[in-house]
Amino acid sequence: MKKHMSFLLILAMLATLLAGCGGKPQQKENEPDTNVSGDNGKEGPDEEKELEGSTNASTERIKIDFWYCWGDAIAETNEGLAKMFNESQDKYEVVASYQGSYVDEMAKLQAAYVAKEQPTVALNETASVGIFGKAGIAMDLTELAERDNFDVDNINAGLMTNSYVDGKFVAVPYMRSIPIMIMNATVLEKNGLDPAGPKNWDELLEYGKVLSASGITPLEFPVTNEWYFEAFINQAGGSLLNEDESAVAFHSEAGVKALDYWRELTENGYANILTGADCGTIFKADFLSQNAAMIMTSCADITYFIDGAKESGFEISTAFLPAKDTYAIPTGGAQLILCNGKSQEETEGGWEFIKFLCSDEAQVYMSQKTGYVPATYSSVESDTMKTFYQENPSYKVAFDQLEYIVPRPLTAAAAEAYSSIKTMLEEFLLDTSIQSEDILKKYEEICNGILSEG
Amino acid sequence: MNKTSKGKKLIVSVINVIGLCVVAAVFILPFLWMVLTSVKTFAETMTYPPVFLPGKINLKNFANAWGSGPFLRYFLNSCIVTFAVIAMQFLITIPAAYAYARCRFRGKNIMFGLTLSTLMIPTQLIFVPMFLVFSKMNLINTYWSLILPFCASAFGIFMIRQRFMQIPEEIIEAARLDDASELKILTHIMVPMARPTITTMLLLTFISRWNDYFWPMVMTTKDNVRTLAVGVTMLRETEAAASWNTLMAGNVILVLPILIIFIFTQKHIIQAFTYNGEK
Repeated sequence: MKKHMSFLLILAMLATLLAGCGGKPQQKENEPDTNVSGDNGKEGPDEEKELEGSTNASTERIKIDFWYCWGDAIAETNEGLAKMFNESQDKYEVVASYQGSYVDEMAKLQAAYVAKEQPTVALNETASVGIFGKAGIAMDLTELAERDNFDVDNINAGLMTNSYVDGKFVAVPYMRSIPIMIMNATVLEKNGLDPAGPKNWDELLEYGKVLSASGITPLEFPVTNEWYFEAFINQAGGSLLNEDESAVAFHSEAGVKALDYWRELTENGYANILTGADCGTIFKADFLSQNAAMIMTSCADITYFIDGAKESGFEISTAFLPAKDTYAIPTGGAQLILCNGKSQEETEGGWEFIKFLCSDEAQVYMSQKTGYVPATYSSVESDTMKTFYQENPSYKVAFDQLEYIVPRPLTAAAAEAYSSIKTMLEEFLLDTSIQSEDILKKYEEICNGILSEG
Repeated sequence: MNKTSKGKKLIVSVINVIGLCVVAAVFILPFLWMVLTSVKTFAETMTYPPVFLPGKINLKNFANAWGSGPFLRYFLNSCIVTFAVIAMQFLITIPAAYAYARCRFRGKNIMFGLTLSTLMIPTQLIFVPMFLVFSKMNLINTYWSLILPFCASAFGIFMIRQRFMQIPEEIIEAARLDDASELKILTHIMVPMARPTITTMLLLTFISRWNDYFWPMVMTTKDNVRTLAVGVTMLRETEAAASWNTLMAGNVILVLPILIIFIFTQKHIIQAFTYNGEK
């Protein structure tokens, strides 16, 4: 009996295998992605129905694959925008699909390009645009933009600094993030501080003094990468790299000032600068549990913190990162590229979709849902966005900061050198006997070695 | 004298129980924390010091996790891929283990060495060439790309071979004298005797395939064949911060089938790791 049971079990498994492997399941090439949830948050079974229902309507459309990174609100926004585009015309069907983190997507896109499986439109981390541009994966958009009178000047000039590779226009800013200060306005007011936040390094020290006396950690931010050091060194008038990215420039007076300021903050208990694997999560929990009064974080977190603060029972406010000689804001986030090697029709469809994503309607939708900065001037001037900013001033701070942004590096070697900067910062923060001058000199040699190899 | 010995025994058993409780807590607490977080409100997940028990059971997190993508499809895909891999491993790994354990053929040791050496190659190293191969065969975004690379398992072959080698030669000789074919020996003697090991190997395969995120992520570019692990990771992979309660609800959905299968097979697993020599 048992033997028969085992045999039946194997047969059942084999049947599953054969049923499962009979080519592509359910979703055919021209069908839209099932994950079109937009902001409706549909349940699985409903989506199955929607999938069946939409098959006929979309069979004649030209399919445009669009790859994006990150889940949650970012995924919902991209899926929602693809849906809006599909409903706005009947020639193309954009199939948006999630591809993991920036790193996952970057590796996949390179493999997919070699295998000729690349999508038509892809969202990439800003610093990887240089790699895709030089490798010929990203298409030169100059001709298409000129032909269609695409208004490049409407895109924020600060964000466009990473769109050109070897003089070619290869990427369009989209879902760009910048760091901002988010503060617990309730706590600041209770301690007699202006909830608008500190404007410069000196004021930050004063805020630190008052808040630490009341027993709360005044400021927290993580060293997950070089981001905040890049901000502080640029605020002090320096930079991480020289202009042609051939050598680092952080071993300078500005570099020393930035690191010494960090030490002043931490030694006096005015700031908790976190390092380690979970630092990117811990500071957020500390802020929402009201153990930290101010944090520096990506503008993509604004919605998250507004909702979280509401649930935890306090108000938040946002501010620029404090200035020294000037304000300076590093950037992160992504750019859109149109991949080479697709058919003429697909390329046209992809370009139409990119143009749609640059429209005021799409930019406003994207910014309101995620907190990312709108990339175009006209979208900020639009009535919807103006009303939105009036009602939610926290979001406007991020856009206003764009005037002071520092471009991301374009070469692969620079990106690698940047990871050493993170190690330098960790070493400096963990070993308080190390002097800023010494560590900057040590890592100048290490980073320049990487840059000269690249 | 008797009293002291009894007392000693009592102390030893108390220490034993305490030790076991500590070990159990190490394994159970993270699991319990996951389940409790999955029914907390967002504010409760962020409170410091953390609260252990939720104020009230918040099942909305499960609906949010399930509704964040086509989870029914992901779930079906996970079932298809996992059970197909298990079926293929059953058909390939067991005969291979038998051949390595009991048959004499030229180059056996070299081939076994080669088989084992595949254990030392990390997936991350081979995914690009594999992607290119599957792309040439038009198998990207199909179940095949998720099943074929795992049809044979070097670890499984090794594990079952070791078990087969423990089975006394006399039993096999006796069967041969009775004119039993190799297939019959395999199916009627070896497999029944190695059942706990085979069950364990298949369960380990089940867990590794069910939980695998990397391979389904790199071999698929669309949702149609993606698995539950990808769906759950998507809840965490956000450039902003994760909602831990929703993420944990997704994790509970992910581990539930593993837990159910484990409950039904745990007797075999314990047997597999306890040596029982045939006399």
